[in-house]
Amino acid sequence: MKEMNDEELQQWFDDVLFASLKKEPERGLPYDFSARVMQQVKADVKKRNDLKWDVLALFIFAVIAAGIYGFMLTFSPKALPSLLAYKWIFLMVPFVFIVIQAIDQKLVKSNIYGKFG
Amino acid sequence: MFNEKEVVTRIQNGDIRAFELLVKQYERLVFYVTHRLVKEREAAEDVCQEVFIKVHKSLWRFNFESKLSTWIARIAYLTAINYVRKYQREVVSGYPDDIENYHFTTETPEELLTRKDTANFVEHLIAQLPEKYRIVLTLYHLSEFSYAETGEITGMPEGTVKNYLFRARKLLKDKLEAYLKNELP
Repeated sequence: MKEMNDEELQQWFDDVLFASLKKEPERGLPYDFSARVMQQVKADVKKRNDLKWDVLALFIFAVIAAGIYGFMLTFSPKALPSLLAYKWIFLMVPFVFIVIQAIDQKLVKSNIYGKFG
Repeated sequence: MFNEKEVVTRIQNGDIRAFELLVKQYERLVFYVTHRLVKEREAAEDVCQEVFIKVHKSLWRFNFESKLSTWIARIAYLTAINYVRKYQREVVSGYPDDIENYHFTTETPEELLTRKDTANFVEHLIAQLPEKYRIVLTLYHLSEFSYAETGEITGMPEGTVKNYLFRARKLLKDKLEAYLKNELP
């Protein structure tokens, strides 16, 4: 075998090093990695869509409540005090709705996202 | 053939199946970036998942000013760094200025075993390098980004990337040379 001079030897070391640096990791991601990601992404999209509907529902509730108040004020102002006596019951509806949604989101989040949630 | 522009446009229009194509296309790149920074294998997988969740959330902002691979690699790099800072408590900015005198643990039983294979030996040495050196070596050599792209991903000036690469390769070459000279008959 032909002896390598210093320049050739240095080139050979470079080649070995560069080949080693290009070597891919022996073990990569699991085969179902993309499926797992898609499961998370779908849950995330659902969560965002649910939030949009929740906001819309609250907006509709606020519009209806304002509409009823305006209607009573215009056409039946005498009945207004008796209606306002129940105002806390009316306000409890969206409050309970928000609490239920928040608990649901928290449970879904902790189950799906783990420590990154 | 993966058409970057078409796939991104489809995802931006709400096509979730197109996102799966993107995941399959870039999962290897994301893993390359994270596995050199996050040591535990399961944690590296979790970070990879987190990267793609972030990509999906942020893709509406992507406007093709850079390559999609560069953009995803930057998200992967920043996510992995955040993980390391939070959970591994590694000093990510405290790399030594005198890298030429960097001390490798070269006499442990584990190291002696890995010496059986040159690539594993190099991998073992890389794992001991400071994080900035590890990431530029990975991005440039394994993921085949250019100097400019590596700088864009890591936020380092191009000159710094070149400098880190030069010093890291010299250090590895010196160790490899010593190792191979001992191994050769």
